[in-house]
Amino acid sequence: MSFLRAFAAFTTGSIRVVTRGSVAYFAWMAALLALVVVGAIAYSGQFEHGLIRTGMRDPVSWGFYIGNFTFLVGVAAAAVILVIPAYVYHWKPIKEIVLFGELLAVSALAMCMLFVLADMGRPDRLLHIVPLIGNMHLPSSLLAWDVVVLNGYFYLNLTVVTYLLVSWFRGRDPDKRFFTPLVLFSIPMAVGIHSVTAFVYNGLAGRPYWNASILAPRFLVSAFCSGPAVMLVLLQVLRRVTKLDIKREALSKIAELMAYAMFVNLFFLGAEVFKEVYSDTHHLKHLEYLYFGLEGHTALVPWAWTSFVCNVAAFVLFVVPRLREKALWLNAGCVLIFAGVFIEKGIGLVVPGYTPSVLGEIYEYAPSTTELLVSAGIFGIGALLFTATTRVAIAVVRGDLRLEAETQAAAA
Amino acid sequence: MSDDGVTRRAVLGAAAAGAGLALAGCRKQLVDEFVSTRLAEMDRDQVRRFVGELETRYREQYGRDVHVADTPAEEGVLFAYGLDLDRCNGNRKCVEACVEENNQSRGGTGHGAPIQWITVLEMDKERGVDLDHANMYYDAEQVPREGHFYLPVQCQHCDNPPCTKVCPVEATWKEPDGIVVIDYDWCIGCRCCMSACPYGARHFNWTEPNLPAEQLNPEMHVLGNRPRMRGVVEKCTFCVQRTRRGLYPACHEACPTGARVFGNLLDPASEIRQLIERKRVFLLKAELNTRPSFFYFYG
Amino acid sequence: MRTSAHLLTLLGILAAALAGGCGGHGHEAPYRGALEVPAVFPKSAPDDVLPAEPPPFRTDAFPCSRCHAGGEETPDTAPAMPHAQHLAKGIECGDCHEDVTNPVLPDPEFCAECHPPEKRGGERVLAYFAAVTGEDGEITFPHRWQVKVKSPAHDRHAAAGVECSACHGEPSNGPFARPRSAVLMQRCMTCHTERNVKNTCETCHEEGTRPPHEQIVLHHAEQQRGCLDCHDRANRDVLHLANGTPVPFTESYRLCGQCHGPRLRDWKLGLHGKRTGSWSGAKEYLLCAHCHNPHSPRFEPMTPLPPPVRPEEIR
Repeated sequence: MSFLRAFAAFTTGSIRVVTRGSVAYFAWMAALLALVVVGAIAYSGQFEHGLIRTGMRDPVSWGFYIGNFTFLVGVAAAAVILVIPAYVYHWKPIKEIVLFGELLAVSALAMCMLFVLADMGRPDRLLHIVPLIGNMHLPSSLLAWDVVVLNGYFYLNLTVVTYLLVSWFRGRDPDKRFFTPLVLFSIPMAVGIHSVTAFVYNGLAGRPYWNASILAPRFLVSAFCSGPAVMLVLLQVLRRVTKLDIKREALSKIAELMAYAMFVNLFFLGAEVFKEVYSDTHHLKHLEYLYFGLEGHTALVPWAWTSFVCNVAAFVLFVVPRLREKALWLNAGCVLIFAGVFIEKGIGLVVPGYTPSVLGEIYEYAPSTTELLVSAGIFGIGALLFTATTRVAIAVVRGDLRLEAETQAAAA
Repeated sequence: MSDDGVTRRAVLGAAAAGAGLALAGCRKQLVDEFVSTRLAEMDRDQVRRFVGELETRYREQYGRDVHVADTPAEEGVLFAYGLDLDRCNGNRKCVEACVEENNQSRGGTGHGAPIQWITVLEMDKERGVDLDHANMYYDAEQVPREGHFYLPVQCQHCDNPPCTKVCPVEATWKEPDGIVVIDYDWCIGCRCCMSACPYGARHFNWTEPNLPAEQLNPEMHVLGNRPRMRGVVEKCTFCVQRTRRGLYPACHEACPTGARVFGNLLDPASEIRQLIERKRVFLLKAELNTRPSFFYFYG
Repeated sequence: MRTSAHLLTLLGILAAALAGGCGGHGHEAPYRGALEVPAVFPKSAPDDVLPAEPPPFRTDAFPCSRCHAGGEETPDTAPAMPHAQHLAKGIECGDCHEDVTNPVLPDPEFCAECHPPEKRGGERVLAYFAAVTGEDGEITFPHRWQVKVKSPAHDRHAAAGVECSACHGEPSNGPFARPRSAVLMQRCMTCHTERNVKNTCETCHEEGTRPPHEQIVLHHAEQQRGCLDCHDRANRDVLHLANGTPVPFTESYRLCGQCHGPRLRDWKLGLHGKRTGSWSGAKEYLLCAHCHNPHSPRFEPMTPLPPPVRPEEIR
């Protein structure tokens, strides 16, 4: 049977898998759907009236949307980079880890693109920036590059997961000669998307908070913390619901790697803080705003310290073997790291870059209700996508979804 | 892929047809937006036709006779600006003249803030030019205030503009006469350029701009002061609709203290060239190598 | 710039190879083009940069109130009575004014004989009368400056053989009886001195009112300077340089430039002062005294226009 017909059968089977499940599953999906609807309503208001509905203004022209975008690029990148330790440490279920990593990447990338769309002043002109149709300002514009690499990475991962899933679905071993190069290529691409995203900020000489060469490395190492945090939780779930042989040591190893990544992240932060504080130039203002507030404007201060405390606490949890081997502490660490990096990237990266503004103005940005709801809606879409695809993937991996069964069912 | 505007128009047209079907009931204007062509890719005839369409549209919209020019850059002309910090007293007459000349949004309920392309900064004499302690919201009975001096900032029309570089769709570029312009019909509103601009010179239409018909300046340029729409970026164009007709920019004409100098950098007799030769000038944030065409000096 | 452009190109090639060449570029765009900018300016500007002829003195832009701050301003009346036109047609003073030695305005009906309201010109006559008739119905001549001057006895002047034009200038088509007060006073003073007539302040100015010049406060290096350092002793219609050379008001910058040399140079180059018009063609530019009060040259403080709206206040 041709691949296409198998794919068709896979699609119908997948729909069945997604539309059936326990009450808890439906409750979860319904909750997400409600979130999406709320987000869509909020977005329709923004579409009608413009970005005035957000908290952004001329002095702070990017906000929560772009922060979330940046964070999720990190998640997308890191999920795949997890493949490296899987290879290095010869974990048995490499292919499965690749699969779920790339599924996470695909969902995260979908959210990234939605966040960019939400942030656009003219979403009706989206085609202007679609590769090949619009007018990409290459090689000069980093955002154009970002669109190119994000699209590339999205389709690359989509190809790999579809190929792997359909192969298993057909009961065949995936052809290593086909997918291994793609997986290996996706690793530099993962580094690429995150670096290019960092360079979007990094290249702006007028914004000293971002114009530091440590930015791209910091992006990467913080992504090495947040991406695997999601994967760690996911792998534990997989261990419970499938027969996948994911060893306790593997999880512990990932946690250990995350501890190192977090150490490097904190070290980079320290290096940045040292440079700014000791030099004491006017560049210090942005850091000062983030951690101490400027002229009574202190909205970010609690967030900045929360993020810092989360990161340090997670580092301690993951670096002590006795702690990280206990599921409770491991998962606590994952939550802490996720929260810490989310705040660091989602809020702590974008807003202080604009505060004070290039003309010394202090406009205290806070996301508006519309921004929060739209963001929640986009996360809802991502979670829906990820839940559905993971459910299908688990069914395939467990052998519940197989071509023979499908054809028999169709025949009957 | 052949990259002329016509092909693009066809491609975009096809895409738009699909999008149009998908967005059934969508306003016609939206579909028009989809099939627009970049101004920078149009030939003279296309530009002229486009300008004609604009004139018709504005006449309908504002009920007034308008003229939209498409004057291209003149050869041998490179515009530059000078500003005498010893003369400027912070009276903000330039700001007002700019708003009236360039059809900026007057703001108001449902229309966000008024948009102003010139920001006058009040600075402490003690600190010198120090943007960290600048105050753009000074509201004094009389200016200059004791112990302060004033520094108006607008688009510096950099020779190495960081804003045009970052635009992902090439909707903004530097014209041969040095003016950095925006194609309002191609801008996607991503605001990269606003993040890139070290001078806060770019402003965003956060919502529908408010331009009452009776306040419309009917003398327009397609790259300049024609009315803008929601969701796009705008900025100072050295009053391209005036300067390409040989006139001084509106801010220059309005300044009651004679602090502003404008002219053609390539003309040795021009005021701006004489300024650079005779006075010591400084550039705002020169360390960023943006190489502004805006020279500040102490007369 | 060059290096970075090369780097970007290199990056572009690499990226294109990587991405399989996506997004076409590099077409000829009519709206842009490269323009060579000379990196080095010529060492000095040619001499013909300087304006060859001084710009015309714009009297309309010159606020007389700067010199004549004493008077209360009343608006000019328009239209004016065109005396010159009448004289050109052979009409003599006595044809309209009963008593030539003490001329008063004829009745409107008298003028209407030649200028009936329905005919061309009739409207203007009516407008003129409307303009010079006060709220009380009395005809008042439109004095631009109320300098509290005693009404000069026209009969006495006429008897002494003073021609109308001696005070009012040659009949013109401009508003009548409105010579520049400084000029008028200069004429009165000269004439009275020549004829050996009483010439104290009180001769012309009502008691208790101060002649306008006394209200001039000199804030211009007043320790070193007096009125006659700039104003000519004999002819108040002109200024004079330090060496005594008379200079008309239209060339006052020559006088100012004696002390303010670099300013004069800058002004000639267009680096100081204000120019309007065309950056590439005809310009109008203001003289020193258009912007600076010569008696107190420092700019007065101004009321600024309101500040921009804070982003916090926008919803």
